[in-house]
Amino acid sequence: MKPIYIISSACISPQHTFEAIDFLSDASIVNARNNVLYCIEPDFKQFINPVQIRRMSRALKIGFSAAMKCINESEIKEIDAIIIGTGKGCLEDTEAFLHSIKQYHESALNPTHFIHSTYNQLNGMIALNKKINSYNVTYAHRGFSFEHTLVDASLLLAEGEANHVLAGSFDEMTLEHFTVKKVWGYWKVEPIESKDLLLSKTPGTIAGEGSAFFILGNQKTKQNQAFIKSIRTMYKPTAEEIAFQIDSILQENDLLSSDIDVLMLGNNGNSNQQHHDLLFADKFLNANFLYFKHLCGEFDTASQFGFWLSTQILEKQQIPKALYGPNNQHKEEKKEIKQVLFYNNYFELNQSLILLSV
Amino acid sequence: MKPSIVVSGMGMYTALGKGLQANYNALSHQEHALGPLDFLKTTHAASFPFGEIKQSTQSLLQSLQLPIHKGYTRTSLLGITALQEALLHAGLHSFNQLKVGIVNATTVGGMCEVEKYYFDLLDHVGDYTEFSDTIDCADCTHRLADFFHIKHFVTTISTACSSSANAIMLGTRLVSQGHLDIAICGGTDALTRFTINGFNALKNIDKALCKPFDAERNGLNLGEGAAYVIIERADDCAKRNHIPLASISGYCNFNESFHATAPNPEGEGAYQVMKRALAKANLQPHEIQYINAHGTATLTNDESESNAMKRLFQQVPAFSSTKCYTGHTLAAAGAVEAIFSVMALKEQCVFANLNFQHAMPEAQLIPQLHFEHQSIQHVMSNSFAFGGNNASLIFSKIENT
Repeated sequence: MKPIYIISSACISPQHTFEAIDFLSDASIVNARNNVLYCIEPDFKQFINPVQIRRMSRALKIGFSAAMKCINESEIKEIDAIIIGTGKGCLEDTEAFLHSIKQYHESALNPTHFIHSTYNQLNGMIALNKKINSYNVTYAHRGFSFEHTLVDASLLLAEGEANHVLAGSFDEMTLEHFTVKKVWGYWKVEPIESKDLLLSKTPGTIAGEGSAFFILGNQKTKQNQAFIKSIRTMYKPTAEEIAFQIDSILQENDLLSSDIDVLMLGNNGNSNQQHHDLLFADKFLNANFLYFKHLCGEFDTASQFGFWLSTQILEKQQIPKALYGPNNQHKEEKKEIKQVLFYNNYFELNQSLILLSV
Repeated sequence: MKPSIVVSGMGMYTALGKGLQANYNALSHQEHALGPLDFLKTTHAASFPFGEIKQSTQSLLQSLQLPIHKGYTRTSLLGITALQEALLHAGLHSFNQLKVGIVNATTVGGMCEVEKYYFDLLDHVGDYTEFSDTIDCADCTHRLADFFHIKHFVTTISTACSSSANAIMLGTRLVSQGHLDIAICGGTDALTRFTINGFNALKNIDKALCKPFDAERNGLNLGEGAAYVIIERADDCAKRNHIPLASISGYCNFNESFHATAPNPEGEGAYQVMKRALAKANLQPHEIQYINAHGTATLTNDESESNAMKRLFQQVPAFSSTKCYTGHTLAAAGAVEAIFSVMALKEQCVFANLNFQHAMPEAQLIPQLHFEHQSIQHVMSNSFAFGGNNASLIFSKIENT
């Protein structure tokens, strides 16, 4: 795979990532309440006009603002594709429409919530507002939704069908959805402090939400620029298959496991899933192990947050302490952070590996 | 040079019937399948004609010999039934060492079941846990992947009514670049109260049978269905001694960024997407002999699509909408109609556009009115969607087969 450069990015999350003044300093860390982490909402008026803002639900506002900031900061005039991932789309609208069907007995319904509940709504909205007539697609596949935007972008760039791609993802958590997923055992029964999440020995995890967008291109545009080297998505893989894919990524990039400086891991404190700690610990002796789910919660496109963090660490050459594991174990400060391997496991179903470099 | 990509198998289940043959028989006899609902409970059951598949969810479960209370939604079951046929049709009895992936499409996913139990789920009344995890698009894709042991690449696209056309495009690109040997592409959508009420709120469902491209058209009819095509490289298909059905010669995805739900009446987006698909196929407009139009019979789509066809084609080729047979099957529509397009190539025929009486005064276009056998080399299939998400596919006849 040819390198895919990150030209610009924007991330709205439960942490102070959008303004990005301080990079997750300990003083600014936000903790989960009642096992949910909600986004810190930016001033939406900066990105959305007053007429539109009233009609847009929270997820659309969050996704739209992240995309706008990313586009504006890129200074790219021509965007050749919009590729968005979302596991659940605009849940608030889906729920509102379900409620109105019941409440009004299937008559005289307002279609706005229905329109906004379609998964490609944000795609259309960004295209419409930025007048981007182009390739435009939405991936709605749980823990692969974000990763497959990157896969599609890599195909487009390789085909020469695009020079600049807007790729990103969004998902929101609502009280109702939290309740529905609780039935299935997604969340911890007992309330848990964010800082204790990764050491937890009980089933379930904490919920979260967020949106991150990236302008991707196949040309380097600045110094110290993060880029993607390899992507793998694995459906219900065994430990052997994960190990096989790790080796295949290392081989593909002519790297040894000792070359990996940082492992960015999507552990979520759920005792009902494998975290493959030993697999990683035995293999990557020189790497700092970093974690992100205690800061963003678990959701379909949570990997966007870990991926965004990886790009920031590579470009800033700085690791926020909040990412170190539960025991604050970390290797001595390294001179240079060159290779980051990202691994995410969405409830044993959708798992991904991404190698990034700078 | 880019490898030649072919369709090597197809399978479908629509209101016209289970399987390719049942669908072709109905199309060739100009028999539609629209009528009142028997299975889905809604106050609109008799208000509009629907393309409902006349098999209960329980009976679908039984015919697939799948267990009850395990969360199989109607969307999943329709998908599994259609995909079974497609794999058989492609002669793929096992995958062996092949890299096989699925690119599925849906707009409702498990909503068909979730909407029945949603408020009970919220209140924790009764035990509907089996469906609590189906409220998204990925559930049905996982069910398909598990049923058929597909592991290499598993994804779902949801771009409203162009979803499965985009799925076919992605599969073609993945196979073309060598990421997959076999791409299973298509879509599945069951009828739901959610979508019926959504489209009804938008006031674009016709109370009568839909009349695509007619001056008096008054909206669409909704349907349900599932359809899949098997896509592979022509040389791989030859190596396993399987005769392919058609080649995928052109495709394009293009967003016209005009309006959230309505197309540009001038048809700019439809024009661009067809033009670019032709360019990709390296074909001139006059080389297309049949267009399976999007033709929803809504006021805006048919106006826009007609204007685009008139602008692109000096002489508009035979065209028809087959949504007047199946209803608009949403995420499945792109794949359903891709299959009809390949059938047109295989059987050397064009399908009739039903319920047409008067040409639109502005466009003055008359669709194909009768089922007819004709010589056909290249077919275009259009899918346009909410949010300006337009897609167009071109299938071509494979010589000497």
